Amino acid sequence: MIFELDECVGYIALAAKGRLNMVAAPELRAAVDAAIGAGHRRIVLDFTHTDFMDSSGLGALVGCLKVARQAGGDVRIANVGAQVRMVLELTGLDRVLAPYSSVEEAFRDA
Amino acid sequence: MPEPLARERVRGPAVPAFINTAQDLLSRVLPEAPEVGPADSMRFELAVVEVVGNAVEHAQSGDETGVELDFEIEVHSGLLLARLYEIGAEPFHLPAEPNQMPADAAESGRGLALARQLLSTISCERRNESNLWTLTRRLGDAEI
Repeated sequence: MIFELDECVGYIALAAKGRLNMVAAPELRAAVDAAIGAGHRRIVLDFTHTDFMDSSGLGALVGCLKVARQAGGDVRIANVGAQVRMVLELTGLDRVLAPYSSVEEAFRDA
Repeated sequence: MPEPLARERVRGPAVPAFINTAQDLLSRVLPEAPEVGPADSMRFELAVVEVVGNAVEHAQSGDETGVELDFEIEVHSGLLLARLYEIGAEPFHLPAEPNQMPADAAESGRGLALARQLLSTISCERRNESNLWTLTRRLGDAEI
């Protein structure tokens, strides 16, 4: 999986490209941990090019969310496709990680 | 069961990279199968990845070394079927009752619960020194 970081006003966007499975899940955790370590608190994960997520990827997302909230920030997700949305809905985690329609929308209320 | 319309097989060590190998195989086979629409393909792929991931975790958590995975997919008229052999693995007990989803804050424990939601049948039986998983999904099953 490839990650691209984009620093915006008030948040950073991390674009994840590829499959978010057991191989990529630790990479996502490391990318978010590094962003928080660098002082970022509001992180949007842009799933435009994430065509697959499994329970390992979802577990990593939950871990990222916990780490960010412990640091006083938040992780939000945007631009999810049908497959990622299905995983969120089947696990009931769409209530915890509500998908936003765009990266810009994710922290508009913050 | 009649001869499948398509069949593919791959074998390798029980490490996370094998999940990508199995997904690459599915990505080749499923789009070529005329009866298999995107909804069935998406659900079956996720179920397979969860079961393969479970096998990789199972291999890495035990004392055994050198566990190999042998994964096979068959496309039948109206049905997708996958078999996964965990060769040299410790026995695995698949509970008869469906697995429950863990709490929202849990970072693991959702894989088999997800797979069971997406499959028509799932079984795990002991064969020689292997666990044999058999997964099926009836095509067009709108319920799952």
